[in-house]
Order: sequence, then C-alpha cells, then structure tokens
Amino acid sequence: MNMARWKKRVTGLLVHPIMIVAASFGLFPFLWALSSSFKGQRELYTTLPALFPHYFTLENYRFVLAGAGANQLLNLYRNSIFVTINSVVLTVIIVSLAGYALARLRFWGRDAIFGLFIVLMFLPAAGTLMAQYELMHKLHLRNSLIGLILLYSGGGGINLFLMRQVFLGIPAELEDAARIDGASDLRICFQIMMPLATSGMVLVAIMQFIAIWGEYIVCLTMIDTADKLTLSAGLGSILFTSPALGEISSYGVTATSVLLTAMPVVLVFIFLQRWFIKGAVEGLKI
Amino acid sequence: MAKQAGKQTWRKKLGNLYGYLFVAPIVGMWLIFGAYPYVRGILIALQDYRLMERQSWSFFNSFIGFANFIELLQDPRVWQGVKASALLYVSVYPFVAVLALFTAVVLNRVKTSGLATVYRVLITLPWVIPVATSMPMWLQIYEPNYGYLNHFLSEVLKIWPDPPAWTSSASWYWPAIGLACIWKSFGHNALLFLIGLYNIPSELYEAARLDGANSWQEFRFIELPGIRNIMLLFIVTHVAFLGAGMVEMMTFGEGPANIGKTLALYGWQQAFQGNARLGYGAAMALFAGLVNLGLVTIVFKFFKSEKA
Repeated sequence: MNMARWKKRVTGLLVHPIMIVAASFGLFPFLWALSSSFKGQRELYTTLPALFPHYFTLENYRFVLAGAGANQLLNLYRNSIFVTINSVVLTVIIVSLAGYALARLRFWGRDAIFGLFIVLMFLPAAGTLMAQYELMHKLHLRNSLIGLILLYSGGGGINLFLMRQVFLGIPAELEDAARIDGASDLRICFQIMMPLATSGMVLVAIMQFIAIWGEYIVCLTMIDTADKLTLSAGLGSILFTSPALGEISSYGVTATSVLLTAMPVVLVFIFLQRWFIKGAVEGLKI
Repeated sequence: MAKQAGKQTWRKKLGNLYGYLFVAPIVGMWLIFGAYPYVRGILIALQDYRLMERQSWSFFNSFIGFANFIELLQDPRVWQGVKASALLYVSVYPFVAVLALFTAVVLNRVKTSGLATVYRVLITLPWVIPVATSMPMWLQIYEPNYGYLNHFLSEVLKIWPDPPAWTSSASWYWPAIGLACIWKSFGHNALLFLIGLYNIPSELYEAARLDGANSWQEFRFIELPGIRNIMLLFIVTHVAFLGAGMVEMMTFGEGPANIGKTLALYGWQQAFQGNARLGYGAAMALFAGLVNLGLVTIVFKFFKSEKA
C-alpha cells in the first residue's frame, strides 16, 4: 500500500519534466523567430546563431511596419480581418440555427438531413475546387473577397455535429417550463436555448477563426490580384526589398512578418482557450 | 371536408415549420457551394477542360470519357506524387499518433489546473498558426548558415561538425519536413485524445484506485478503452493520405528535384498553372478521393470486426 502511494508520487513528479519538454518543442520555433526578428544584418554575418540576440535591434519591425512593403502588408491584414470576421459570424449563425433545429425541433426529414451532413464528411474528395473555380467565375464572385467569404461559410459537418451535441445536452425541463409559462417557439429558441449554447458557439467561432485565418489554397486559387489576397496566402508575395547592408536583414524581416501574421490568431486562441476546452469536452462526447 | 382533413395530417406530418426555416441556410449554402461543385467536379474530370480555351468549358464540347483517368495511370509524375504522399504520411503520422497519445496521458495526470492550462495552450499553438507562417519558421531553423539547428549540432553539442543543408538534401528532406509536420499536429491531436480522457467517468478511476491499480494498468484498462472512439476518429481522419500535403509542400518547398511534389500538389498545378488543364486536375482529385474512400472503408471494417 505504501509502495503504491510512493509510486504514485514518483509518477506525479515525472509528469512535469515530460510536459516541459513537450511544451518547449511546441514553443521553440516561435522563440527562434522572435529572436531572429530582433537580429540585424551585422549579427547574421559576424556572430554565430544564438537564441538571444547579441546586438538587439528594432530595425526589422520598423522596416516591416513603415518600410517599402508596409502598405502591402497592411492591405493584406485588412483583407484577412474582413474575410475572417465575416466568415466567423456567418458560420456561427448558420450552424447555431441548424444545430438547434436538428437537436430540439421535431419536423419531417430532420434525421435524414443530419445524417446527410455526417455522411458528407466521409465522402471522398473530387474536383470540387476546380468546379468552384468555374462556379465563382460564372457568378462573377471570383477574385472577390465576398466570394471567398461565401466559400468559407458553408458550415460543415463537424461544426454542425458539435452544435447539435451542445443543444442536445441542455435539459428538457427548461424548455417545458418556458412552454408552460406560455413562451412561443421563437422566444424559447432565442431567449432560452441560444444563450445556453454559448460555449458551443465560441468553440465553432474559434475553430472557424483558426481555419480561415490560415486558409491558403482556396484563396490562392480564387484570387488573381495581389491586393485582394489574405495575409496567409499573400505573405510570400510581399516583396520586402531590403538594402544589402545595414541593420536590416531579409532573414530578420521574414521572421518579423511571419510573427505579425501569426499574432492575431495566437491572441484569440489564448484569450478564448478556456471556452475551447469546455466546448470541445461537451461537443465530443462520442 | 376530406380534403381539409388530408391537409391537416400533411401539416402534422411536417411538424414544426421553424425546423425547415432554421435548416434552410446551411442546406442552401451546401447546395450552392458544396453539392453542385461536387457533382460538377466529377463531370469536369470527364472533360478536356482547359481554363485558357473558352470553348472547352462546355461539357458537350469537350467530353472525352475516361481519357483523363487513362492518362493519369500512365503518367510517371502521378506515381511519383503517390510516392511523395505516402512518404510524407509515414514520416509524420506514426510519430504523431504515439507522441499525441503519450502527451495526452501524461497531461491527464497533471493535477494543477493552472499548469495544465499552460501546457495545453503551448502544445496547441503550432496548430493554431497558419501553415504559411509555421513552415517559414522551420525553414529558418534549418537554414544551413544562419539557422539554429546546424549551430546547435556543430557548435553547442559538437557532435556533428559538418551538418547537411536539410531542405535541399535528397536524404534529409523527408525527415526535415516530417519533423515540422509532427510539430504542427502532435499538440492538437494530443488535445483531442485529452478531451476523450476528460470524458471518462471519474468513478472508473476511483474503482481502479481502490483495487490498487498502477499508472500503467489505469492506462491499459481504463484510458485506452475509454478513448477507443476518439482513436477511430483520429485514424479515419488521417488515413486518407492521398489528398494531403499540398499547402505544406507549397510553403516548405518541394525539395531537391521536386521529390516532395505530392499527388495533391501535382494535380493543383496541372489544373491551375501552365496549360491549366482543369479536367486533368479534377481527374487526379477524384482518383485520390476514391483511393482514400477505400482506405477509410478498410479501417471501419477492421474496427467493426475488432469490436465483435
């Protein structure tokens, strides 16, 4: 008995070193990029690579935020924010309504519709992207940010599954009590059920935010002109024409622009991570 | 009178009409931007569709039957693409599965909730940021002259005085991109497993503790069976390897002599670059999809027979 308890304590102590190694592995590329973003040309040529810059400089940031490529970067930032926010809002609305209906309302064909969206998740890919290109061309929505938002906001089986699961988890007594008090269908939906499903909505919103902020291939396929690209797809196309010598290094400029691109989604995730876990634990009871 | 009664049962059968109203947006979006392009994509695969030639867009003008499929089966670059997709898969997912499961089981034993949160966030960050930013980060680490990896191997550890240029060496390309992809996906898959572990009722652990079970037995007899469905989800979503590895290759680079040109990437380039043969690209996508469907079916069959 004592032995078992002792063993337990050893396991408890071992847990942290293992997790610190795992977390450092996850963090290291960020730290390296952060370090590179503070390094200038001088450091790259004269000293060996080190995690802590010997000659600390802010020139890379000044160059990226105020130099030749700054306008382009700012424009891509604007595009990304516009597309991501709209797509997140649209998706959350679409998926919440459908998830509520599929979980709590009785109507003919309900289970068939839900089954359809689940089966669709396992349907093999075909030339959908190619056909979407043609479709968007015919709708005159190709090379347009509105077109991108529409393509991004279909909802999707996983989101629908999660939202339905969250609505199923709300006790029926709440609904019954409201009905006895004479609340209408719409009132029950929007004033009672929707607020109770906030965790699911935030989960869908975070996942959609991450997916759209990082989306690459659809944007690259649909958008022709550099001024309409999103940040993720257009980052590589910004030409930071950097001078050959001086404090600025193209290595440092790359690190800086990459960090600035990743930053919004990292902040969103860190601020909302509690909701993320909560929603996922509720939604993934399978 | 009879007609009205019929109308009423019809109305009753339909049930709550708000149901249709609320489901309409998602179904509508799917019909326009999902279902229609899906069907049209299959038709495009049967056409000699070229983006630059307007008259080839019509199905009846350029229908060529299965010619695209016959061509792709004979195209050596398609088979190189299949090989690249398979190599990417084996250099990433076996490691991700083991690392993610191990991390989740360890993380489930962290009792301090604040620390558990910090660990969870840090291992998930690689998945959160865009591939277009994480791959350049790795390229900078691999950079032969200024990168940290070679400095670390030759100067800090002093075990490898002359380390290779990882991304442009034919023998080191796969380990290099493999490590970057493992880094990208081990954390969020660990989180997926962890959510499965959190959903295991705590009574099971308490009962095991009363019986004097050790950590290994807890893992073997409670946790592993408890996350069976999550593991099925992991395998099903990842076994479909043939369509994967497009964005990674585009942002990391295709390696020396294009050894990293996966089937998905080759198909995309055929469809949208050069001669822009949309039909040929669509045929490749459909081919990959059918192979993937076969793989998923086999996995499901296997899990079913396991259960029986």
